[in-house]
Amino acid sequence: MAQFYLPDRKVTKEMRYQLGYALADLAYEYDKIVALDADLRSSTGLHIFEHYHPAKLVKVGIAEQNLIAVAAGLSQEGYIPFPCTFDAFSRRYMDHLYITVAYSRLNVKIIGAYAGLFTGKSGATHQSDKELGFLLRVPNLTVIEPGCNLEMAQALRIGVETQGPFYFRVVRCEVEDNELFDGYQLKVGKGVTAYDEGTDIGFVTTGYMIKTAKIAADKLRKQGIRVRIDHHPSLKPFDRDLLYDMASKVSCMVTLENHCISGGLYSLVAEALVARGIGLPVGAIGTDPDDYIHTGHVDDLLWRYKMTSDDVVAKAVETLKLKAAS
Amino acid sequence: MHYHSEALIRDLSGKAQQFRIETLRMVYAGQTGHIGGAFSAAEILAALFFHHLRIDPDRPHWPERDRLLFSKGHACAALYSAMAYRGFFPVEELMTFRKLDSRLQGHPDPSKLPGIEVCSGPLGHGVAVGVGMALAQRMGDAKPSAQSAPSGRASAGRTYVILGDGEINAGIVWEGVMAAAKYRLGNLCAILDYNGIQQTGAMADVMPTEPIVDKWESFGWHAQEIHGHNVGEILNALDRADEVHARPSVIIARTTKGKGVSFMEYDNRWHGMPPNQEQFTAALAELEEGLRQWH
Repeated sequence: MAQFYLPDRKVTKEMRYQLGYALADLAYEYDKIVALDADLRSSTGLHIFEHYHPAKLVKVGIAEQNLIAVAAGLSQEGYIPFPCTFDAFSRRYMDHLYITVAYSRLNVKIIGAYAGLFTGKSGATHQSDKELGFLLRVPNLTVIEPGCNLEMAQALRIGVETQGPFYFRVVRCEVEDNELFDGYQLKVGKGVTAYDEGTDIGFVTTGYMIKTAKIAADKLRKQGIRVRIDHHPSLKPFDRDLLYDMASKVSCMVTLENHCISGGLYSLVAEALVARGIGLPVGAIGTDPDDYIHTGHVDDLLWRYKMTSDDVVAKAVETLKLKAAS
Repeated sequence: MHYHSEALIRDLSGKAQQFRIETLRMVYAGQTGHIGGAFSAAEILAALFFHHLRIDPDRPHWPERDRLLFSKGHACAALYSAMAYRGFFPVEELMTFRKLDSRLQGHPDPSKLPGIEVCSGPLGHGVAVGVGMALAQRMGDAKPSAQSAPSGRASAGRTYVILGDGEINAGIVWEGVMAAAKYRLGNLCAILDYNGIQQTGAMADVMPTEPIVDKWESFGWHAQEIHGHNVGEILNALDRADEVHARPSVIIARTTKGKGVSFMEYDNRWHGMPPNQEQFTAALAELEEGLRQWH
């Protein structure tokens, strides 16, 4: 496919392309929106934004620290900048995010694209499964990880309409238009019960993994195991109230994230439960914190890191056994 | 080019010396802070705050103001001194430097002190952030304002970045430099406080940067090289930079680290070390003696 391909927006389900369209739409409403690219826009979908708003795209080249710092300067002059590069390259600009943007609470909206496993075969250098360990501990930063295109578009709008630093962790690949329900509205600091068959086990999801969780829950239903799924697109702030509600009703949980099993969603859940002395077994689906994501087809990676729906089913059964034994 | 009177030059030179005295007092009182790089920047700050910059201490967010990004944030004692004397806050507040809950944080913090344009400390951000600000001015409808600077300049807000020479070791600086040239940001002016010494030694030893003028010019900037403690040269260079419209400008100000105190000059140990009582007394005496020549 051509490098600057403009797919039919009514057909494509790739989050990266729908993001390009969604941001372009918002820029018609809010003329202070600008986007910044570090030589990746033909991958991240920002080439679509550029197609509609060429004067509003700033190209800084392969210079991720500059990407964030220039965005910081633009934000101080009343613009709403969306610097966008791979989520993996947040590693390169962390100081600029932590100090230049977040310490001064600047109105910068960072897009971390190609998050996690669902990126292609680039391997460890371009893949991101550890970064929440830092991002979730940046003061003043709101971190949202949408799992479908509806959430993604809603998240971008909230970012535009809310003052302060935002980070959107988004995937490259195909997702559903809407993984939740008709009339769903994403809210900062709020999770949502996306699936409620019962209270044998609770799944806690963020981002892409809502899809895997629902497939696994359907499989578990056939085994007579009833699952409630709570989806948390808002990782920072995190909806502890919803988590405690689930904890009061289920006997054990499994967390699912497009990230390693430490420093991200699993840690958010563990910290919240321990803070209240709630001793449920919690299984974790995600990559290994002691390894890198190696090159491979995404199906092979999901199999390697035990993140398929069958792996989720197995983890749920294992966690239920753990609960039964305790 | 404007004419700068002898009286103006003497006045600004005296103010620079006053900033050195305040810096010494602040760092001694708190037993913390960076003297060497503050002393080298004093004339630059005096020329900017008291003549060249179009700013209003009562309106620190005035949209048409000139923006000053003090990228070498560790030397902020001098910046704070200049801001206090210019009226951004009371001079007495200088003694709260680096104390808990002070607005005068160890490195400048725009969320605490109005008038600070960038949070600087981790070195290198200033040019890049300045690029964003200058670019925004270009993208918007910046128009000349009726209110002019003390110098009589009347132009839409320009962006000035004061950099240290150790700071330009950092790659992010050159990312900003390249972007500024790409976008032809004639409304951006960098001033390089080129004192030749960084924390752990001479620049020639830590990371050589010569030929420095050639470097900036080859990156597409207009470059001037001046004596950084000669107020007349600073003022002329700032005027000249104003006239460069199609490229960003840099003024490479050759300065002396620790300028003004004989035992502090050219010595990297005074990068970040506070003086003891004996050293304070001796330094103060030299600075006050130096101040007398301007009055």
